[in-house]
Amino acid sequence: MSEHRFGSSDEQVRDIWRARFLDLRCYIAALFLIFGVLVTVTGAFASPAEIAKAQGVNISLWTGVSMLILSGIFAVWLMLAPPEVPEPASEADVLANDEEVNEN
Amino acid sequence: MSTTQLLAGSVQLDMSPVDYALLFIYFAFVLGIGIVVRRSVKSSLDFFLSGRSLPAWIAGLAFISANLGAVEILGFAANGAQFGFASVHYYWIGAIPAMVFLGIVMMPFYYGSKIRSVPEYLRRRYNKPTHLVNAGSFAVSSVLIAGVNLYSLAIVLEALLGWSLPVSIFVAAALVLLYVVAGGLTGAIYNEVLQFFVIIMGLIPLAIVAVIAAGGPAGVMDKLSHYPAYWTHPWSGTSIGAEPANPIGDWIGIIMGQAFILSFGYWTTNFAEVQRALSAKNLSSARRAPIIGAYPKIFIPFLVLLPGIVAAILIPDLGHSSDPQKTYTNAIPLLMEKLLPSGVLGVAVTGLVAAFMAGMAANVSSFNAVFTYDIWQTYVKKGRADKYYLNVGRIITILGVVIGIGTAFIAASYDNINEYLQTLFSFFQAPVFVTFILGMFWKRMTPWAGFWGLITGIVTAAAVWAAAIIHPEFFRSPFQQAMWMGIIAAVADLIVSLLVSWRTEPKPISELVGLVKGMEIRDAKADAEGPVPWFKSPVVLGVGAVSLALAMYIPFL
Repeated sequence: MSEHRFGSSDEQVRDIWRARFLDLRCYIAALFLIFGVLVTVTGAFASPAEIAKAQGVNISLWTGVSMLILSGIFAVWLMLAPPEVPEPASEADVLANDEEVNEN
Repeated sequence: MSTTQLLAGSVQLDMSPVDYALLFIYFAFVLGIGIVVRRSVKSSLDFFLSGRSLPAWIAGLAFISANLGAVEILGFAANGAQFGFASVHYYWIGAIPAMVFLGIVMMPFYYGSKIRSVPEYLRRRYNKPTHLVNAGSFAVSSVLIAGVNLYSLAIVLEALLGWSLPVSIFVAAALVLLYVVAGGLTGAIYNEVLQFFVIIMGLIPLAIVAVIAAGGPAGVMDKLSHYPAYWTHPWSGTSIGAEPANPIGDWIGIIMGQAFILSFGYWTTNFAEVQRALSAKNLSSARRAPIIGAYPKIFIPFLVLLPGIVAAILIPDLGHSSDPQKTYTNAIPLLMEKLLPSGVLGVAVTGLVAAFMAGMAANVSSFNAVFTYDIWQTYVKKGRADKYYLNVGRIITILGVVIGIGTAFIAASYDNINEYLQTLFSFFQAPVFVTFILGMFWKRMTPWAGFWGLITGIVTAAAVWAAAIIHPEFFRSPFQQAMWMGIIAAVADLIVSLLVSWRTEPKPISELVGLVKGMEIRDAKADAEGPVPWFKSPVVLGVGAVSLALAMYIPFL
């Protein structure tokens, strides 16, 4: 951990970006960006028959735009509150596991 | 535009290329996440409990996602189509109070004592026989339920997409296997949270379009006025002898049996659930996790029950048609076929597939932890290095999926999967809550009282079930039967626990540290961080969730 704390700011920035890439919010934002674009475009070119099928609502368009907004929310949250740089599994936990066994 | 192919017993959807693209993009994400998080799996604790590192919101959403599988979605839609809003009890008083209780009352014992599984609590609080009963039954039922989830998933893939059953089973099992073996619990949880948002994004448009098709909210309520009162007033018909009788049960059964005994047993002692909260990074997050999950859980009836109800309105012969595809369980697929255009259709199909995979992954990822820690490490191969148990976990995951495929076909002969699982659960779940709560709050409760109480409860539950087969007139429905089975088994467990405690030796106080009320272990990490702000307080959040859940009944009184 110490190299994170005392390393140069470039390293810190890189670590934060790496942590962001590993953060679940990154995957949610990315998945819904792709889903949002695909579904919004499908909705934008929906045939009258398809709109009629969904009771006159262009439901794909609405869903697609909602997904883009959801993607945006997670992206903004990820940028505003970057994840803590993950700590490696502590030695104590691993030792505790082994001790657990000897107890028996 | 939409050509409907009629297959015996199934609804085949007309999927456009964009719908398929959405499904395959999702598969790619699922695998990608498994591969990326693999790097964070360095110890058995990383593999089985995500290294106790996740933020509360992720653990909380995974907490309800793990339960939002095939049984929940298709099963409760079927309930909605059959009984209307009568089944909301399973959510508003049958789940929320239990989730809040886990967070506020029980999590300090689970998380504080650093147990790695729920059965492990029983081993430390009581003795090995008690532990073995719980760990063994959990492992067996997890594999069975994983099989049910896999089978449901394969049926949906076969029915909706026209893939053959063996291909569907292979694809689904292989995906789950890959991301759980690689990413362990983190792989499972990340995908559960992703699945949560996909299923929401698929079910909300379906519910909206379905309600519009039935004439809007007012139109739905108007049409339901021709149905029995319990369709819109879930408490009606719950008093003894009321006509028409509420098929879900009587009020004593609903409150004592379902909301208290069975639901507390499920949400607070089922390791597939508790494991998600144990993955949280500190005690405060672990306590908040089930409570954060409770808020979206309050609204899930509108995404599963409501489409079922509207399906019953729009498809009048649903459930009693000569057409084999018009079954209650098919309510949601039938609506998707009828109402969803391409684009949203792909999202909804992906959501269903994702939910079933996540449900199965939850069973597999809790099964492998219990098998490795509670059976293999405790009874078979003790004292090996941590790496050894990590490998055992990966191998047993593969074995669990293989057994799951085999057991999948047990579910095939039951038409209402939900009722079948309720029955199966109540055998083991009913007594277990009594055994846990006595253990946590009563120092005098002895190890053998734990064992004999639990055994008596399980046997009693089975006896009630057998009696109901001989005398079907005892109970008005399988739901009511399950509730009373819970009550009777819990009382039997309680009586035997008290009697055996009276005649046997309690554990020395020194062995109860961290496990019993009054001997909690302080969380040093949380103490160092100082007090949590009020809006993160489990008590404030929990009281809010229970109040909101109860307030939801107001329009339905």
